[in-house]
Amino acid sequence: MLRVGLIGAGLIGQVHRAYGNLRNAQLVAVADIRPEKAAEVGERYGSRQFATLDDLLAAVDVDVIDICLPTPLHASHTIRALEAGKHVICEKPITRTLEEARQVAAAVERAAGMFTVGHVVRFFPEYARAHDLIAAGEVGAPRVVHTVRVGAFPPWSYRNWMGDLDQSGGVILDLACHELDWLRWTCGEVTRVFARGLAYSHLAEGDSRDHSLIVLRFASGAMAHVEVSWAVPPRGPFVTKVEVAGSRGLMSFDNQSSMSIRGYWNVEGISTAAPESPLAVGPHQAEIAHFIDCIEAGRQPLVGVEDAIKALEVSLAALESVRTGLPVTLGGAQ
Amino acid sequence: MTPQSARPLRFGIISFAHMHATSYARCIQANPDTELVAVADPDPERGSTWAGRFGVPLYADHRELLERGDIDAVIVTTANVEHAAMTLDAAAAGKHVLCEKPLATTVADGRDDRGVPARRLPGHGLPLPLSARGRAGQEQVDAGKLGRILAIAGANRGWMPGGWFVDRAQAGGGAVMDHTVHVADLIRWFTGAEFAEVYAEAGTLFHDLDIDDAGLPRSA
Repeated sequence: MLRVGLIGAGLIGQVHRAYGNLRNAQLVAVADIRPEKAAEVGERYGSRQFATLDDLLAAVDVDVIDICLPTPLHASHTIRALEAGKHVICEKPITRTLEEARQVAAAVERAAGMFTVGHVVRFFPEYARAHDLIAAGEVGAPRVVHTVRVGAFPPWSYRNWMGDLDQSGGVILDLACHELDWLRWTCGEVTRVFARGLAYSHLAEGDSRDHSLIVLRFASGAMAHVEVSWAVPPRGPFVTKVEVAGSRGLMSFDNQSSMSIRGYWNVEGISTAAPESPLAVGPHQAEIAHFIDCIEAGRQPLVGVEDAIKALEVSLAALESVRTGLPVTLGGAQ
Repeated sequence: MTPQSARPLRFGIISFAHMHATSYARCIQANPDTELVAVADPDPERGSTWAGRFGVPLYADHRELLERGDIDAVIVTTANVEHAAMTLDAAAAGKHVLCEKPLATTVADGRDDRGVPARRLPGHGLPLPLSARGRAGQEQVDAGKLGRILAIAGANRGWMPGGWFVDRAQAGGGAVMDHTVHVADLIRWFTGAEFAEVYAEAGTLFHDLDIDDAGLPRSA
């Protein structure tokens, strides 16, 4: 039975409550700078409650630290937890900057514990199955891919850190990184990125209307178009779509047609779309269970530090392209 | 232009190289206000097939069709590379012209009007803004329902048509040349703005061709 400490009990932290469903892991401690948030998790799962990671590490012997903090805090907390000898799962994106990511990679190298990043889209059933079908050659080589991930801006983040481009990286770092990781996993390395978006425009109204269209070229010659947005009106739907045109076939899926419960109710006090496709094992639980199983078996997790760094690199290249209006070449000279 | 009152508008069609020529011919014959008078096609087999199907005389040389005084308007549905020259010939002959897209295969050809009076210059085969959906979308934009347009993403894809469409000398380009114009036209209508910059990734990704069959154009 692995003992888990959760750092950050905000929205995604509470989604990570899936530990309660695992037989080989237990959420023994939770830390959040907001005592009421720590209490929400602590009282429900019988976990000890703390304000910070350091407080938690000093008081409780845990095996795994799960970091669900704002992006700019990922690097410092990941490194601290790794240096304390813990296995670490950290929410995406791995860090806010490439320099921080390299520091994390160095810490992972030195550390005894295992490390993974929460690129959970790999664990959504359609995305996982699509990847496997494509890898098996069912549509031939993937040649042109369109993806969509759009929704209303999430207004409930702690001190609205998501609404600050410097902290969150806007819709590109926060949403597109999911697609960019999945596309790398499915189509291979990205060689060129061109993006347009509102990130550096006053039209984004902070980040709350951030919207971006990203064009990728892969080493294989394939191309992809990634559309991400927070500009959907409040209470509007959260929509994800993927279409893959391969050399021998077409494949597409979207969350609207596969959604089994369409809910609209208050999340964190805000009326919002709250779709559910309940599964016996949801994607976040699958992601966590996978990491826990890997720790027990001594196996490398599906998402390694290099994968997460590559996803960040493509995301940051897209952000740079939005800023300069120019394409960004990866993996070589500009 | 004076409205035609009782007499139908009389059309000639120049070439059945583009498959839309048959759609135009059917529309003209189905519409009580229009009449198909003659067709021109340098390809004798193709020309006689369609002239026979629509019950009209065939000219091998489009200039002979243009000499007819009983033709008010022509539709140009040749391969792309001939669009500009055919359009100017028709306009110089005093006919109204509807030219299939793209207007030309180079910007220079597209801009060259050879001094033909502006009121005779063409309408284009860009039907999407005129479609019920296109018009409804435009009304919503004009009514301010969307506020300021911040971004538009569109796609246009279909079967690879083969033939002259994939011959660069005839078509001027492949998928990107054939399909971009419709979406670009809609974007111009919806935004009321002109394009300032274009970036595109394109390539031959699906077929064994010497021309692009896929593209992702992006613009501002």
